[in-house]
Amino acid sequence: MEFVLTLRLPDPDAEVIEQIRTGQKEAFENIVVRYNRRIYAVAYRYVKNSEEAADITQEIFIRVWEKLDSFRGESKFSTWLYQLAGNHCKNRLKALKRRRWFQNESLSSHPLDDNSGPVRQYECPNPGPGELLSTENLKALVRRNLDELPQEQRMVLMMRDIDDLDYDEISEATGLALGTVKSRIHRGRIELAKRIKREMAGESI
Amino acid sequence: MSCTDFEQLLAEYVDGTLPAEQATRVDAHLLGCEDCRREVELARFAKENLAQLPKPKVPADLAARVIDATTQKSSWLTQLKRWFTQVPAPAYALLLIAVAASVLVYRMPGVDKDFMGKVPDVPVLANNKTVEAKEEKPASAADDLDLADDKETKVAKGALLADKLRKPVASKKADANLRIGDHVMESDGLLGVMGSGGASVGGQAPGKNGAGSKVASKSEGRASGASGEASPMAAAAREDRTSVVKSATSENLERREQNGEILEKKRMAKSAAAPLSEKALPTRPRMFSKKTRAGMATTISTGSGMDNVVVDQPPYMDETIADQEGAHAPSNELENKMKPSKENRTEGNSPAPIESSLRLADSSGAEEDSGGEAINLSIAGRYDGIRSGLTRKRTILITSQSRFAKIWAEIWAVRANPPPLPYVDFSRQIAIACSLGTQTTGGYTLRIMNVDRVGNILRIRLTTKGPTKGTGLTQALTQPYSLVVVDIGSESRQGLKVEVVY
Repeated sequence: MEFVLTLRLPDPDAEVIEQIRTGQKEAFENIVVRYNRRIYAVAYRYVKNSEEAADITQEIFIRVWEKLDSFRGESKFSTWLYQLAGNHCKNRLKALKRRRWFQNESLSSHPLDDNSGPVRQYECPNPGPGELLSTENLKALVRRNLDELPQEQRMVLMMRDIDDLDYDEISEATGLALGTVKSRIHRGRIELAKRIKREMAGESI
Repeated sequence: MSCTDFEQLLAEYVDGTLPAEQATRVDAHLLGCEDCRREVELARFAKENLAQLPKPKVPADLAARVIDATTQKSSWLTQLKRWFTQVPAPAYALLLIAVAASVLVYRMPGVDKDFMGKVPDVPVLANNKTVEAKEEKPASAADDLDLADDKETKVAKGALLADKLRKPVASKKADANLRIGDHVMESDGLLGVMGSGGASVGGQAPGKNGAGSKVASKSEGRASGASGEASPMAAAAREDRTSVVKSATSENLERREQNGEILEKKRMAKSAAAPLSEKALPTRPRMFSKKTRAGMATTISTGSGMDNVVVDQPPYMDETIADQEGAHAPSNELENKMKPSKENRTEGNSPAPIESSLRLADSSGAEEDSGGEAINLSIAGRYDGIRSGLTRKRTILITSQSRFAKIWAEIWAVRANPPPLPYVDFSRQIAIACSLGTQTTGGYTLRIMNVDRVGNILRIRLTTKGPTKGTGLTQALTQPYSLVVVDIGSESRQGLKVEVVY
């Protein structure tokens, strides 16, 4: 017989949430300050547009504020928050796709994407034989290969390695199982590295 | 344990976040597994390179924006929600009672609400055209009735008007907008409901003592229900009404001020009445765009005794304010209301009559008024716009500097820094302003095209435009207006009448 012992860590947000519930509305600012960048990152990975991501972030926090009463504390607040954020982003992305704004998922050619996000303008690195790639060219090369990864790998990979979201957060925001997120990230890294190395080898020969 | 089993651990192993115990197990596996070792190297390489890529640039004010947004939301939405969930049921009951009570009070006689209760539009055939008539049905009718002594007369008049209104001779709708309605002549208050649906109604009222006829005309809404108590006067009124209706449906569309005759019969008997009826004043042939509301004219004139005459007018012109320079002291409507003596009503100090007539003229009928040839008055200045403080439909005749200043201020009330008052030489010029009233979107414009003088009638040609179908609309409240200054010469403005032609 196997027993699964679940150890529940105290929710770091529990105190703030309690303050909000007891009428200290300004405590919600703590939540916003703590999470806005991360929620923005999630939104950005979904819609790939800074303005849209900012709007979505705002909407998400408004929803959080409105629905805070329905948060029962059965899970960590952050779990609830990322789930809500992920669902909101998915719905928004659907709406945007319906409007055919997001036909091309490639960042580099995305019409709505802007320069404020990750590198999208890059030149084709063309070093001479044996020449080392400059930092900028290497970034461009990484970026291009990243863009060529399948979407499901790319998004979680970027959330993890660019945005520094942890696996739990990614899992909640994407709705994927934690194990799936982990293996997808691992496979994505390997795939990306292979592509980069292949390209570097091809060019330096 | 196979390589696949390690896959999920390797991501965290590469991150360096794997718990020590599991990391040890991975280390042991890697020692013996070339493939996994290579994969870990590749993953590290990718991770290092990915870390070099720039992070999305978070808008600097994002947190502030979000905080603002949630605070705002909390200020009304959540509080409203909370209010609705927390307010006990008795409070809702009280609210309901309060609303019901206010509605009742609002509907009660004695509450002066000149904009209340409209009779449904009644299409009336006039000159082979169906024109929807919309008539004000004042809820304050009963109150108004009480103000005057001669109830019978009023009831009769009311019955006449009401019956006339309810005479549907509709065959087709010419234009939903082509309506004659809301003809409430007022003198700083109310003067009377004018006939509609093609039936021309003239109401004569002494400058100072308009309350009587006003009240009488206004009473139509209720009087229709009370027509049972109509006196011989009512019978006379009915006769007249019949003829009016006939006239309305007749081909030649000659409009007579028959109703006016009825309304003022009593007064006529006592005082030497000014002209009560006059020939119809057909408008000129249509000469503007299709959108021009040709074929309809509204006339209001002022006697010297009136400072302001307000007429609720058809489609876009609800109200005419004619301002006479050097006019007598403003009529004391309040006094009249308070002391509605018959004498006062019928024998006013200012015998100069105010005639108001609504004429529906055939657009093709190019007959001129008896006034003679139309003289086109040159427009010396023009101010058109779509944002103004003129929130009601009005036509305003301005013949004095003080009035001009007042209207100018009203127009520019929407601006913090209104432009200076233009100089208008009122000894030889007058100003005319028309407004559409508040519209809920952009796209509405009006423009006084020209002003003709035909005898003592100022004929204002007005074009109005609504939003074009299928185009984007500015979602904003607009108050389109058009103001012109015209040279009229030094002739007397006594008895000057304004006629708006669409």
